Amino acid sequence: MKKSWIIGLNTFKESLRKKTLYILLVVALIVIGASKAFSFLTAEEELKMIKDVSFSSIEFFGALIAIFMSLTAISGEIEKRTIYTLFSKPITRQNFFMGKFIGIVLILLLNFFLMSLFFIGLLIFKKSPPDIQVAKTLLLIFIELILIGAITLTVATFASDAFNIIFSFFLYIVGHLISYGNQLVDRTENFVLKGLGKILFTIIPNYENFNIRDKVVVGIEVSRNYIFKTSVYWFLYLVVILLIGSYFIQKREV
Amino acid sequence: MKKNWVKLFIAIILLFPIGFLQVSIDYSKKVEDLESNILLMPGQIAGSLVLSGFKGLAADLLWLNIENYWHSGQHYKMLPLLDAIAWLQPTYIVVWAVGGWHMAYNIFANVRSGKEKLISQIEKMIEEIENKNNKDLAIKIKNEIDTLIEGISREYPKTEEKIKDYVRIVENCRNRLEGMREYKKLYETLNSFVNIPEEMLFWYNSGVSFLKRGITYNRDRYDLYFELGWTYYHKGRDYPNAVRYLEKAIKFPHPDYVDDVLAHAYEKNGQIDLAIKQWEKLIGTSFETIAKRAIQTLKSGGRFTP
Repeated sequence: MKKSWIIGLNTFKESLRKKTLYILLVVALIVIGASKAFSFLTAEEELKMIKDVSFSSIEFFGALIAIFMSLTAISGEIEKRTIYTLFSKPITRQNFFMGKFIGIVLILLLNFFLMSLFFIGLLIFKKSPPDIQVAKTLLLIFIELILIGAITLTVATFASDAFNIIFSFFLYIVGHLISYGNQLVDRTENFVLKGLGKILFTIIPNYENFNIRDKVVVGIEVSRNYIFKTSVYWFLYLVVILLIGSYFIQKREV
Repeated sequence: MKKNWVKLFIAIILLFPIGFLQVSIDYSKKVEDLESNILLMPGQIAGSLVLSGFKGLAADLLWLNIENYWHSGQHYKMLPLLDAIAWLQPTYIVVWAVGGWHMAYNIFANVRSGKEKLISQIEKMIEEIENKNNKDLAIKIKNEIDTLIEGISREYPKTEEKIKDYVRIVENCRNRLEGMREYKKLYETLNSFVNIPEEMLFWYNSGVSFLKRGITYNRDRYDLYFELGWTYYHKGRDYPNAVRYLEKAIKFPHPDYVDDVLAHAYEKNGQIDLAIKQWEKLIGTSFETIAKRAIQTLKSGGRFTP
C-alpha cells in the first residue's frame, strides 16, 4: 500500500503540471462565478440558478478532469517509457495500478475542493449558507467523479486513448439515461429482450443514482438512507471496476 | 495467472448484489420522489438524450427567457416555455405557481384590457347606423357583453355552472349578431368584442388546469394546493372548490396564512362553524388579533370577510 501511495503522490504531482487541468478549473470557476449575474431575479429564483449552475459545473468539469487525467495516466508512462524503470523496481503491476488510481482521486479531490469552496463562498455571500442537502449533493457528485475516473483508468489498461475517450463520454451519457432505458425495458413484452436489457443496465454504471441535484435545488429532501444505499452501490461498483482494471493490467504486455 | 482469474470472477459475482442494490435504490427513488420522470411524448426523448443529467440547467435557461418575455409584456410567448420547464423539472413549484398565476390573472387581465379600444370603435360605428332596430340590437349586445366582461373581471363567481351560464350569454349574443352581417365592419368588431369574455374564461380555466397538472407532480406539498385554492377563492370566487383545495393544503406542513385564507373561504362558503373553528386554530400565531376579531364578529352573527 505504501508503494501505491508513493506512486499516487507522484501521479498527483505530475498531473499538477498539466495545463488542461488549470484551464478546466478556471473555466469551471468562471461559470460558477457567472451564476451571480442572475441578480435581477427574485432571491429564491437566483439561489436556484446559482445552485443549478454550480452543481452542474462541478459535475461536468469534474467529469472532464476525471476523464482527461485518467486517460493518459497509464499510456503516458508507456509512451515516456518510465513504466520500464518502475517495473524494474520491486513494484507490482497492482501497486502501479492502485497508485495511479490514488493519484487520480487526489487530483479530483483538490479540484472538487476548490470548486466547492468557491460555490459555498457564493452561497454564504448570498446569505444562504449550505445546508445538509447541499452537502449530500456534493458528496454524491464527488463519488460519481471518482467512479468516472476509475472506469477511464481501467479502460486505459487494455484500450487505446482514442477508444477510451469516446467510450468514457459515451458511458457518461448512457449512465445518466439508464432510468429511461429501464422504463423502456419494463414496457417490453419480449421476455428475452427484457432479460438482456436488465443485465445490460446492471453492468452499466447508473450515474443517475448520484444525480440528486435537480431535486435538491427545488427543495426535495433526500434521506440518509438513500445516500447510504447509493454509497454502498458506488463502493461495490468501484471494487468491480478496480478488480477488472487489476486483471487487465496484469495481462497487458508492456 | 490463476489468481488473476479470481479477480474477474469476484467482479462478476459482485454484479449480483449491485443488481439487487439497484432495485432497492429504484424503490427509494420512487418513495422519495427522486425519480427522473417518465417521458411523455416521443419528441421529448431527443431532449432527454441531449440533456441527460443537466435538465435543471436547461430549465434555468428557459426561465431566463420567461423573465424577458414577462418584462416585455409578451405573455403568450411564455406559455410554451412554462410547459417546457414544467416538463424538465416538474417538481419546481415556482413554475406551476407562476404559470397558473400568469394565465388566471395576467393574461386574463390582458385580454380584458382590449375592451376599451373596441368599445370606442363600436360606439362610433353604431352612431352611423340609421335603422333603429339594428341600432338598438347593437347597443344591447354591446352593453350585455360589457356587463359580462366587468362581472367576470370582478364579482361574478366562476363556478362550473356559472361559467356555462356566461358562455350561454355569449352564444346568445353571437347568434343575434348574425342579423347584422350587412354592417360588415361593425359585425366583425362586435364579434371580436363578444369573444373577450369567452377568452377571459378560457385563460382562467387554463390557469386552474395548469395548477391542477402541477399538483399531480407535487402531491405531498401544500404549495400548489394553496395556489389553486387561492385562485378559486380570489379570482374565481368559487368557494366550494377553494375550500376543497385549501383543506388539502393544510394536511401538509404549511405557513399560517394558509389557515387564514381557509377561514375566510369557509365563511364565504357559508360554513360559519368551520370558519370559527379555523380562526380558533390561529390563536397563538401572528394572526391572533385578526382571529379574535373574526371569532367575535362571526359569533355575533356578523360578516367578517368583506
